Amino acid sequence: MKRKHFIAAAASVPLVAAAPAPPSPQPSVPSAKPSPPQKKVSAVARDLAERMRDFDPGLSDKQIEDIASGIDDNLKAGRRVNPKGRALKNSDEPVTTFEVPE
Amino acid sequence: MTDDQIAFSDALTLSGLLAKRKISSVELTNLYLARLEKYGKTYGAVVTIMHERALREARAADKEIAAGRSRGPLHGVPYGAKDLLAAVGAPTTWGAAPYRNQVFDYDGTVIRKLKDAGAVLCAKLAMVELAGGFGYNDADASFTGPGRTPWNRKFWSGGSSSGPGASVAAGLVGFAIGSETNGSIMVPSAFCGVSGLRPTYGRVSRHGAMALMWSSDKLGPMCRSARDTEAVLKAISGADPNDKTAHDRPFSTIRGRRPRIAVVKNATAKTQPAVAKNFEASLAVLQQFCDVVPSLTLPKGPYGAVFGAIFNGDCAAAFRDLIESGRARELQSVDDRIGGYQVYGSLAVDYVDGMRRRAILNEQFVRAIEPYDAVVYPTLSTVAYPVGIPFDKAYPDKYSGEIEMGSPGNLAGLPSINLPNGLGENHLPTGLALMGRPWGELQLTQIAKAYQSRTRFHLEYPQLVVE
Repeated sequence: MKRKHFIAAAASVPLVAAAPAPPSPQPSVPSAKPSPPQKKVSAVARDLAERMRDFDPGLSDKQIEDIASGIDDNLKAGRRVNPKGRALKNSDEPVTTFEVPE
Repeated sequence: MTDDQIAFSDALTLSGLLAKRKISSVELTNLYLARLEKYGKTYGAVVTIMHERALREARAADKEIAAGRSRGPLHGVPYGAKDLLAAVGAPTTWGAAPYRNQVFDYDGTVIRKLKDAGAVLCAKLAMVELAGGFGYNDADASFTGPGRTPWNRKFWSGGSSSGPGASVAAGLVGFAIGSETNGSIMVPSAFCGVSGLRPTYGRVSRHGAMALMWSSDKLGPMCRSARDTEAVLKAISGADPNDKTAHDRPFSTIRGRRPRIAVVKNATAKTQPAVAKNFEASLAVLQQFCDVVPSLTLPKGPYGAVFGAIFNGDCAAAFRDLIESGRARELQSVDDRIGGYQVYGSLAVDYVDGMRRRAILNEQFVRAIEPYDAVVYPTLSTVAYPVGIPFDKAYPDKYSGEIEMGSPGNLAGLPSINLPNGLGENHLPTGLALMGRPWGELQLTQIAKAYQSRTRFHLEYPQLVVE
């Protein structure tokens, strides 16, 4: 049921416009970089973040704000994967079974 | 030899002592067990010390060696494994409080292969919780506390293979097994001053290891010499019916010519001065026996965004039960308590587009490095980050953190090795990285061994303290 609510929330709000932003790859080892200035977080990210209270009702408003910010970073980074001007073509297939070539 | 000299010997030296009966495996195991007890907590390096299993395996090794049966160069050599590998006789905690009582009743394939090779499992070693999957931003990100580099315990050991890095550097084990999804072998190897080898994706089975990003998770050796990494890799590699991504592929070496290496363009543009100085000195050594191309321009990404898009989907799926249970609140790092929700909120379309873009980027990247046996760069732009300060405040404004080679290398599944190449700020190690072609690990170790035959950085070890 929670998953259903989550998908409904994601579907009910429009996606943010593409914006240039640094990626947020959540790597195993994060890079040291200066903290970004206070930024505007999209409505879709806020809505998705709010849904996380389904999983942990104890999340504070500050935590929800931080979750929204992280989701927003990921959405913006996602736009960089397929940017206008260098868009993936319909024939570009995903690596469905990843294997390193010989 | 003193106890310290023995403890800090590389695994192949220990192997020689064992074969010549200068020391028994039980004596060696007891030496390391005592050191794990004495120093393990000080450096946040250990989760579980496995006295019973270790001594049982050591006695078996001594019996076989006495009978003239050799299982190879690791026979009787004690080691430790990052605590994301299942092993009988100890919990497998993934470094995270919600899993601290998790027990598996089998050995992961790497543990089993090392047992077959006669190695002695002494300890499950500390790690960043969930291998850093939820986006930690400071060293205190494990239920065992911050990992600390033995060179200066006020600084981080690196992650997420923090325990393997610190344990090898402090002489608490003969060698260790770490894992890497995006930097988790290379970074602690650099911060702890050890030789760490990230194998080609598919060279080593991950059966029994915690999954974080299925198409990038790799297990590899962290050792006190490059020759050790080669010996351990040979012991743990190969196909496995329990991991369909693991293959038997031949090892190839460079024959009849000088190695060809390329220096990544602007490799020292954003590094600390000592990192740049040590790197230039390393290049001078490499030029003694390699043909060196001074400035290789690599294809542009966006590697980080692509890695992130794939990573987010995999990580959210791998830990969906933890995220949906709300138990992420039990994690040590305040960032990790919310990071799972951030990856859970990523889009499926970004994941698929990430895998589409990955195919294009990998082909370009592999083609660019194909002419060379290795591309070289400083493993990291700085020495270790201080404990107690968020990573993004550690070296503000001046330095960029990681050299941006981790994401392209891991996206393409390419092998890489870190070699200690000197000391920098606060008497902390710096690292030299060599990244190779697909399946080119032994070409890397061939160059690395030649480098270490001309330098002594891998022979130096820190003065330890107990706190």
